[in-house]
Amino acid sequence: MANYSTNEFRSGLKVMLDGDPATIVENEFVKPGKGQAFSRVKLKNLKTGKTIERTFKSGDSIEAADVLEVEMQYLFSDGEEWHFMDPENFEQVVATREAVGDSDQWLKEQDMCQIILFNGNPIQVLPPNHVELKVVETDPGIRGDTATGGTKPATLETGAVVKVPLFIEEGEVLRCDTRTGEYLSRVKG
Amino acid sequence: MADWRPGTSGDMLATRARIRRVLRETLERRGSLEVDPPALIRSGDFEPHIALLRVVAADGAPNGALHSSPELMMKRLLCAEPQLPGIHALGPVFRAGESGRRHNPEFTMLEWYETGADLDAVIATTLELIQQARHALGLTPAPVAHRDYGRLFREWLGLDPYRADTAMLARMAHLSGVSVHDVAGMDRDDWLDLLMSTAIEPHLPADELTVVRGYPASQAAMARLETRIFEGREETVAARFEVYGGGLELANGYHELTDATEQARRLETAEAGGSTRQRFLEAMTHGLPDCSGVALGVDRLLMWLTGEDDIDAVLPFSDRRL
Repeated sequence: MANYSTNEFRSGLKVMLDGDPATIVENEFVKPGKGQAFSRVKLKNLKTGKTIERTFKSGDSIEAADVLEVEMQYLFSDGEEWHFMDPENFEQVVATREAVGDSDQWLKEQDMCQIILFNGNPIQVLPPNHVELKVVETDPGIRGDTATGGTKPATLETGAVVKVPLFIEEGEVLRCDTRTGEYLSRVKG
Repeated sequence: MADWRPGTSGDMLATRARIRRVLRETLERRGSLEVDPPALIRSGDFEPHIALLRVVAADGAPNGALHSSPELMMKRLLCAEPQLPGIHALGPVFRAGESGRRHNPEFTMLEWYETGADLDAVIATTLELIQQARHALGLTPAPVAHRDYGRLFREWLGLDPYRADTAMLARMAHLSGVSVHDVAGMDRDDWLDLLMSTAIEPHLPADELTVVRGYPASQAAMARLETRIFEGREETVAARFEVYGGGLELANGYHELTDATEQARRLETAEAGGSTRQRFLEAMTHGLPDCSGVALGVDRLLMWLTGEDDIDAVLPFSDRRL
């Protein structure tokens, strides 16, 4: 792969840091007038999601990472591996538990997911920002209670548990935000 | 749709114009003569950490560079006219690769020299210029703290910047949360610069002017050396000061080196030179009058005066809007 010099640093750039692929989140140029210039960089490790701060002397370079973000359709899982397919060329990839993390609680077969490929292998799986999922378990609904603002837990078909208003019934389909894990609305069937 | 608007508000544009006028008038009242050194120069790679922007003609032929500071030409003027009490220049300077919230590759610099003035005298002028600028904007004078480079390092990092070795400096950087990617490529001054920027500047009081003096002799460039007392011993340091507005570096000044032989020795390590170096050293041999010089970043001054934390807000068109 190519190398990137500090003057090419910008947010979104994918680089290799300590053997792992990482993306640049923030790049701050620091320099005393007469002194050495530095780039103080905030990066996100794409495998662990951890944020790292690293300072580079201006002119230093770092290896580019072979990282691709692709949209793929979730097919199925056996609990150990998660299978995805590119609906255009039918190519399939297999993601491990490490790559899927706790995204699996939102994964519904046929849904399109964002997958980050490193050297062709999935290292991160992101569910769609908004999903529509059926409630498989919750306490019986309190009809007409749309005003008190109380909530109860509801388990969705993919395993996620979200806080929902008291009037929600089992079997209803809910729209949720996977980034916050919050209930958004009922979906009229 | 492309954003065609300037980064400055209408008020900021007026403030900019007012500050430029005040800076000029204050120096002129003191008898300084405004000069206009060339911005298009042949070479001037004399500062190890400042990269010139090269100029290439339409046919591809090299045509010199844009100046990163008017220092050499202004000193040659003083060598020719040593009777002048002072000279100043207000205009753009250019530095390749300097871009960020506090940097723009083209910025406005006020540079001035006062003959017969020592460091204390130009520090006083610098503070007067800044306080006059505040006055012009209806602000009260800012409190001023005079700090010693060594004491600042002792206070915030517990180390002696004149004696600490690179391993010690690296350890303190690590302890203050600064993780350097390629430690092997860092020399002593690199570590000191990094620690100054990341572990000291942020602690300087926001509404105060801080004058820092006592920079290590290795960071002198074109300054003479002076002896100062640090922790009971004599330390040879650069006759140099910096003025910070809060944690923002506003101005840098030297009691200028007049020793032509020493100047030639310091420029030996500089890569380029040619006629620029030769003419400058000839002028120095002829004789630079005893003088002190200061460079003040006008955009930075505006940032501090108006509380803006991004240089884009004080420049009509920063490099992000070209």
